[in-house]
Amino acid sequence: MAEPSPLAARGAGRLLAHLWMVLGVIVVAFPVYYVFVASTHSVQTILRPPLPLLPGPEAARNYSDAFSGGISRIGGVSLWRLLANTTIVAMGIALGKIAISMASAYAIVFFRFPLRMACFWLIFITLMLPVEVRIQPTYKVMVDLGLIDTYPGLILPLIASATATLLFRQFFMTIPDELLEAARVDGAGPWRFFKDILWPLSLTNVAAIFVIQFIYGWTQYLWPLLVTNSNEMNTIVIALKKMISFADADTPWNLVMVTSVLAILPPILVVVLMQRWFVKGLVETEK
Amino acid sequence: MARILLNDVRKSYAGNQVIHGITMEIADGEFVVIVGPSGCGKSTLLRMVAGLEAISAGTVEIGGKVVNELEPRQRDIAMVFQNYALYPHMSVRENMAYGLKIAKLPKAEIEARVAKAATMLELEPYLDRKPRALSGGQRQRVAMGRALVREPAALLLDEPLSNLDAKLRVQMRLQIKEMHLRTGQTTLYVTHDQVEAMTLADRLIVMNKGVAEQIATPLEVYQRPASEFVAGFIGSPAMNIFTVSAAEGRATLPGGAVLPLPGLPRGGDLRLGLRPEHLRPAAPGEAAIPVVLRSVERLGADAFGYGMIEGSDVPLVLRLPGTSGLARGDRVEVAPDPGHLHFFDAQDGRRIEG
Repeated sequence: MAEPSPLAARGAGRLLAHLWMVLGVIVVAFPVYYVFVASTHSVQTILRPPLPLLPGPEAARNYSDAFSGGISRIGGVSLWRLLANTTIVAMGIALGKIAISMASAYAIVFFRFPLRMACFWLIFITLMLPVEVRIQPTYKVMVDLGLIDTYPGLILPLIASATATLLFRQFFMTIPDELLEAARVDGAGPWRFFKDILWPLSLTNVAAIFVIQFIYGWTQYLWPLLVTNSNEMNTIVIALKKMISFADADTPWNLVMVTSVLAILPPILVVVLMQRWFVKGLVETEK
Repeated sequence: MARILLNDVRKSYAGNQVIHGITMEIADGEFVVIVGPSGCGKSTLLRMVAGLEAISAGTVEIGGKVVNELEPRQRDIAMVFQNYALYPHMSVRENMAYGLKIAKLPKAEIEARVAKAATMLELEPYLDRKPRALSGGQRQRVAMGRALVREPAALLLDEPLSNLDAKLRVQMRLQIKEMHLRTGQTTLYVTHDQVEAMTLADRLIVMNKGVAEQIATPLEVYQRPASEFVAGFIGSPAMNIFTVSAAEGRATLPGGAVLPLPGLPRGGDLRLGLRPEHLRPAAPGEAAIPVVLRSVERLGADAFGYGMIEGSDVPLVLRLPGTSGLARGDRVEVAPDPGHLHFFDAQDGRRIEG
């Protein structure tokens, strides 16, 4: 620490600030840590309170058991299948949302067509309707289309996003008009302008929205619960729920905890890996 | 390289006309500057030639082809924007090559053209940098380079120097002039800066409120301004213009002094224009304009005296020799140079030939 941060306080104030921050970190991180700790003990240890604060000796056994069939014995599908399902759904939702919301924001910001503002407000209004409100008609549509127990059925209803459209619209509006005009003079049509100029400039925003939407997709509960009947199509969150719906004593808590850890890991990975992009987006302010 | 023809070009926004019919022929290789105060429609006119604004009425012809309905890319033009509008994520080289890449020129040709422009603009060391790593002057040169590599029929520049500091502006002005001499590109240049206008232009369009007040060579605009507006806009410090009432070869000035003026076009109220540089101290006994000085600005070579015509509140600016000992409060008598009198109609401001 060669350069003290301008926010650095001195003496007691500094100590207090650090204490407060450490406390905050503990509050947020402890439950996650505790899940990890629980995943390294046997069911017997978990069921006999208090749960130890340190990782136990059963880690290797729990994890290998979970991967080699322990989960299938309970839920009927392997952990691998659950992770694959969830990854496909989360990726599909995140990428689908980006594709759709970018396209609609592009149309609204850069094209002049009749009822342009009406379209914008229509999209905006859907922000006020949560998924739950339109869940019954959506379910009916999925049934009619024969999309129950399919990936499209899990993904499609969730990829329209007013929030992401709005975010892209706000970003597109910060692009100076001259840039568009320069591209037009240079001979770029709408598609080239999008591909060569708008897309590269949007990358940091795309990364941010990807992270948010990936996590949104990964943690979906209600919709996957409705639209999947077969265990084969379960996402990891649904499987987790199914594992603990037995009587407490029968629940293999050690495996539940392993599954929880594995359910948390991918979103964390996404955040950690994409964080560089956030920082880059913050540093590169010039447009 | 091409001729540009503007034929009664008009622009209106929702029924509100902002450009009132401009007709002009720009010869192949000519450098024409559109000059005027902000809001006069000069940028709008340029953008209509570029194809960035729709033309409400009239026609624009580039190289013998009416381009009204053509997209900018089909008009064979290149443009330099006031804020340069460089693509921030592309290197200098990519910025300059982008238009050529879209035009699907062979790679070798693109490289040759970019290299040539980079040499001419002294940008070689920066070809792989991004715009944000460049200074304002360098960015400006990249914008110029991006336009030049296209070798367009017409080069359009929209206040390209107004974001630069004064010293750099002079430098770039000379460079643009030199580049025009070298390439012989038909050029349309918008500015509000009269020095840029006077030094760069083969011909000027002086615009005011959507009307071309005068289209002429810089010298002609200076020597024979077509209207009171042009007279006041071109020249620094601005021309002194005030109302006199004329009768029998004599003009009564504000404040009551009477001045015999040769070539008075007619009697009645007139607007008389006198440039500060065309006023000299009067000889004893000569009919003159009495002026009371309120301040004197000394610039070294010259000094400018700011005063009022005695007995009135009409301001008058005089150009004095740098060594002049005059100071605030002094009373001087000045006589106008009879070869440089300008008369304008008191109602519509048009020039009245003496």
